[in-house]
Amino acid sequence: MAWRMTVNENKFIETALESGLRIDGRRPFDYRTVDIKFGKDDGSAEVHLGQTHVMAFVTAQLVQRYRDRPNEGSLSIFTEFSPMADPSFEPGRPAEYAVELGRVIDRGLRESRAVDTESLCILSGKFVWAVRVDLHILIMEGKLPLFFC
Amino acid sequence: MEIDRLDGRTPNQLRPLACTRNVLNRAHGSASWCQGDTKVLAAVYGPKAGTKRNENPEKACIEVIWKPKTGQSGKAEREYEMILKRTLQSICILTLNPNTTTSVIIQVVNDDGALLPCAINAACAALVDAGIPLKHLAVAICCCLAESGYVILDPSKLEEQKMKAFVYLVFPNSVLSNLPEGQLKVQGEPMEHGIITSVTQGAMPVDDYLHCLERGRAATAKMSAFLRKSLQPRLPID
Repeated sequence: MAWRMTVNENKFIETALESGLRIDGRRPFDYRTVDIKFGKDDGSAEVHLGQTHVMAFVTAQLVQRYRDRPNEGSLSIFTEFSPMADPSFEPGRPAEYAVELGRVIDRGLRESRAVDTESLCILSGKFVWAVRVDLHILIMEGKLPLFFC
Repeated sequence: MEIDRLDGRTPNQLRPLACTRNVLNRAHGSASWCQGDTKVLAAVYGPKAGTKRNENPEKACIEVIWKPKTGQSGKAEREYEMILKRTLQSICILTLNPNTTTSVIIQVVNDDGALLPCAINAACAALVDAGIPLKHLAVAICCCLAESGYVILDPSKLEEQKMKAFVYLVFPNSVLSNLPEGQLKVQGEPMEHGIITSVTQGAMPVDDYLHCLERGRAATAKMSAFLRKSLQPRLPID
């Protein structure tokens, strides 16, 4: 990243925090306003947290399953760090931050059983739903992992 | 002979247009363009130093990144990127900032037909929002040919699938100028009569193609006026 924080800026943030004030005027435990909009088609949503904007699209496809889990469908998450969010993001191979983010969300949704993969099965061993979630990050101003759930 | 369109439009009627500038605060320029239900978001990051390896360093370079709504970027996305890059290269003044790269990022929000023209319009508005010097603006439209030989403009996705052939056309926008009339003509014809880009899909006879050109050109006059109005600088209210 080309921009580095100066010593003055560091000190300012620290002194402000000591008196319980953050640089945008919030108190230490205050949240930015959350705005959630659902798109026209099924399976799309846009979330704004302060200045950060993220769009999510969910699609499902019928696939055949040969795996050792014939009774379950699959849920896959694709996080796209668009160069729209920050010019330092290169298109193509995701940076390690992007991969880490994808993994955190994936584990969060999978282990909490928010989506029941068994209900995604139509015909055991033959056809199951493969649900695919695509996340596009439009603007990044911090606090990404929270969003996605 | 009238043709019935699903949403009740006449053959020459465009879908409602909407354009918003400066939607993203990080990007140097951004715009979102809607034609009916098709919505595209474009972001421009202004001239960065250096050009890519195969590009000419004596001119500015435009880099286009197309992000589809779902799925990985494949061959179709590469094709769109190439068409968009060539179109934008012909409208930008490339000699002003040599050895720089301007990135244009297109994100498809919703695809309901005429996706590429929508993206070209959005990219053009985003370039204006970023302040990149342009020779003139580009206005894009999609014309298709039905089985019966009828030409319709700005199809929705369902209409596009039923058509025999379609063509995406990009024209320069209409010019409002203080210069005397003679100066703006190229080889005796006014500049609006030129074509910047034409991409056809499906087989169509030459006469029908020329017919599409005529209709498309007439419709872009209205789009030009809309573009000009929406790109007016917004002055603060005193």
